[in-house]
Amino acid sequence: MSKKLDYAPIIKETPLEKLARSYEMQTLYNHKILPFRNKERFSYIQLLFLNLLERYHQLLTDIALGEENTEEGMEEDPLRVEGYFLWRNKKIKEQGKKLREEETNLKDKNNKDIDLYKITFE
Amino acid sequence: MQKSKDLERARQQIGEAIEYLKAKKIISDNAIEFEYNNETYRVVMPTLEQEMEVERAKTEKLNELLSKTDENGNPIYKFKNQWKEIYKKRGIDLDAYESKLQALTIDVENLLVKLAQTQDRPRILELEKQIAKLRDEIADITSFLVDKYRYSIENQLMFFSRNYLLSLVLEKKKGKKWVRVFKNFKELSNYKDTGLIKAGLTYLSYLINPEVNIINE
Repeated sequence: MSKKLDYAPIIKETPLEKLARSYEMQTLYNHKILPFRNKERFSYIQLLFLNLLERYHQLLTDIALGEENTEEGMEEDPLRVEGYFLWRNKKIKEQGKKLREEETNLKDKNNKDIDLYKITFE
Repeated sequence: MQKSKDLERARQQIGEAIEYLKAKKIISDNAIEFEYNNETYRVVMPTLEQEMEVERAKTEKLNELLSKTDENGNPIYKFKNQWKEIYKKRGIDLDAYESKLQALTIDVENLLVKLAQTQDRPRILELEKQIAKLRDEIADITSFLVDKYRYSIENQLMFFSRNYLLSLVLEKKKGKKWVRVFKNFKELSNYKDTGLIKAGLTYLSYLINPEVNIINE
């Protein structure tokens, strides 16, 4: 059972957000069961809901793992949820950029090392 | 005093529970049922054929709007950009409002990222208040722009296509069967009860993306 928030968020969550993070919906989602009668041609609101299900699934997993900037109960505060994913995506992008830069530096270094052994025949 | 507070809280909880169940019902299918004047109606997800019919009707409507002129031969209906020019001449720079909207959106995002990095309660509430204030400002500017583009060809076409689509997908329960409420768009246009049409359009916006609005179109 998740810990409750100890303050009242300035903006309340929508019924759709509350439903998406509910134990019932998250359990179905974890078992790859969709709570829809139709199996194809999803409506706009169903697609939005699928997106929310995935978002809360990710958040609850991160909270359980004690990831940076998470705490139990924050899923009840929609602004903090929104902020968390903005921050998270930004961090992932920065890490990706850093990795690419490191790879390029490594390649440059390797090329320089190869140059040392280059013999020019005239 | 405490009793009335408890009662208010209970009332609020019941309201939230009803909204929760309503949301559950709305997402359960790609056809949404609703009650109106003690009758049961539903809007169903349009088929590809129906969407194509709307597109054809939209093209005809566009031609109709473009061909309408006043006594001097000037076009009556104008595109969004033409309205922009008209307002600019009158001292209202709509581009500046749109830029302000973008700047405010970036400000909100920056505050949200700050919010993500704190667990200090007073700081959380302070940041959330700032975000709510900026979002109110965004809503005000958006509604101002929507109002200014109300009579643009883009908006006229959007209004037309939503109503046309509704005429195809609104059904009424008769016994165990579902039957179309309107045989065609003309029947919807002449229909007196606008309440049913408004309710139908609201539910239709849950089925198809209502985000295609006149500001971003």
